[in-house]
Amino acid sequence: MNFFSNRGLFGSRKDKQFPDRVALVLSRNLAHIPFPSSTYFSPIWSGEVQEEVRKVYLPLARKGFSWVGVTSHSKELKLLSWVFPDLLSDSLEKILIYKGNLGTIVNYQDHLSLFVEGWSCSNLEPYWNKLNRWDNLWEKQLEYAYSEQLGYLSSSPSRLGTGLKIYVRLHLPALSFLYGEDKIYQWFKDGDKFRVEVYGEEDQVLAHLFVVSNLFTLGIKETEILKMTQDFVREIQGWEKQARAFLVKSPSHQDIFWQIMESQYKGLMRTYKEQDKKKFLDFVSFWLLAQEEGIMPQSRGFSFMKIHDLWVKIVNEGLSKGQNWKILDFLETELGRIFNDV
Amino acid sequence: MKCDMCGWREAKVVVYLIGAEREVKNKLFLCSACSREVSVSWVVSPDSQKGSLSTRISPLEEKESCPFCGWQWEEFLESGLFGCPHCYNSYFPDIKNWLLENQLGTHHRGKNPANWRKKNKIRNAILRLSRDLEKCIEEENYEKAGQLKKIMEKLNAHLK
Repeated sequence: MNFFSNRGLFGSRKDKQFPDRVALVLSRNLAHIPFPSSTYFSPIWSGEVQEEVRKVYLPLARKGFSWVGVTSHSKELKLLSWVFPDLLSDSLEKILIYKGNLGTIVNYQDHLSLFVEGWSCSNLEPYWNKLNRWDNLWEKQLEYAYSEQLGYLSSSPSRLGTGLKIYVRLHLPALSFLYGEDKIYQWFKDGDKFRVEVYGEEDQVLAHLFVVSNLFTLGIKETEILKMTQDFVREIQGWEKQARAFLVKSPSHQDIFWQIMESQYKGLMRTYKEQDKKKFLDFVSFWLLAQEEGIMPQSRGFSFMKIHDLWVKIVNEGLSKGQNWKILDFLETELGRIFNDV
Repeated sequence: MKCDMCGWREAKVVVYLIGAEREVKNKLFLCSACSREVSVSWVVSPDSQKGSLSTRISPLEEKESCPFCGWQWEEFLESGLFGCPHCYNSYFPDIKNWLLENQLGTHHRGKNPANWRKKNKIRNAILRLSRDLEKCIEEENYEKAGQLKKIMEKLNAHLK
């Protein structure tokens, strides 16, 4: 089964279900070399790591893997910044080796960050199998920093042991509409097994998107992390599904929803400012929800443009944490036609 | 003689500390494990004095900085990151408490590198053989002891 065809990091999802996203990352370091976090991680060490990595890469190049020297303009890294938020701001020289949604970042927080990325959050096992095979391939040729007691040694003790972090980006507009996004965010934060992150500054939820990742990596097996995350995500998705079903069946809630949307829409079209980024993204998020659930006439505004395509463009290219996104420029160039149309 | 660094394994390597005028200032007796791990900065430290290293700069007791990369505990507290794989040895007592609070345990339960599994098998085999060797010597079965020693040497070569 070609599980990853046309999906993931550099593909696009065509079906209109939950536009969630998942990435599995393994932190690995080479033995006897300082971590990239160290002040002693000079160009000499960086060069040595890259030399070792190049030996692994050469046979991979024949299989279609690309070696990309990273600059702040790299499109690939912008796409990955939802998983590695500091990727673009970090001054160290970095390399990305990838093919499709499978790859390795060299010299980021650890010497190697092996990752696989995709869209389907309900079944994580195929992702893990693919990443595990990828890891086995690398470890055949490299000596990893490993301790019998602490497992794979990483620059951060929060990634010790298995070194496995699973990041899941959940889009929860219906739950946010019914219960309020702050309550949902607080509920995530109150949990003791997962860490939650949002995109806005000062913990502001943008576009009803939440990124959850496992807290524990030591004292637990990879398969247990996988199951724990999978159960958690399925539970949340179940709630979102219930909230959507409720919204579809409740005309009174639809009326409120529509009133909010209309006032937001008019406000945005009248005077748009950079500070209104949150309003705009929340609006698009709700619009997507409405279109997916068929609770809003499709002939109003945005009619010629598929909101789903717009959404994919925003979350893929504009919404990167720690990145200064000029939404006004984005709107004027990318969505100029909408302003003219309304 | 015991190793100057760990203080408990038998010393097998002698490191000569050379002064500015190329004279031998001191000697350092290290076991084979510590001789592979010890960093140059650690050896040339002006405080390095034979026989007192294990008490003065023992990685387990010293909290000022990691003997391999010089990473300081304060830097970890500030950034949440360590400087090198040896930092975990240096700060283990402190990190253990952190792990108990922030992880599910202090022992790894997941996969391990294939190379490590292979070497671990060899190490275990050597351990078993050394026990047999001692037994053979006790029983004065020197012929078998000689054979075991040869096998152990071959296995040891695989570990290097």
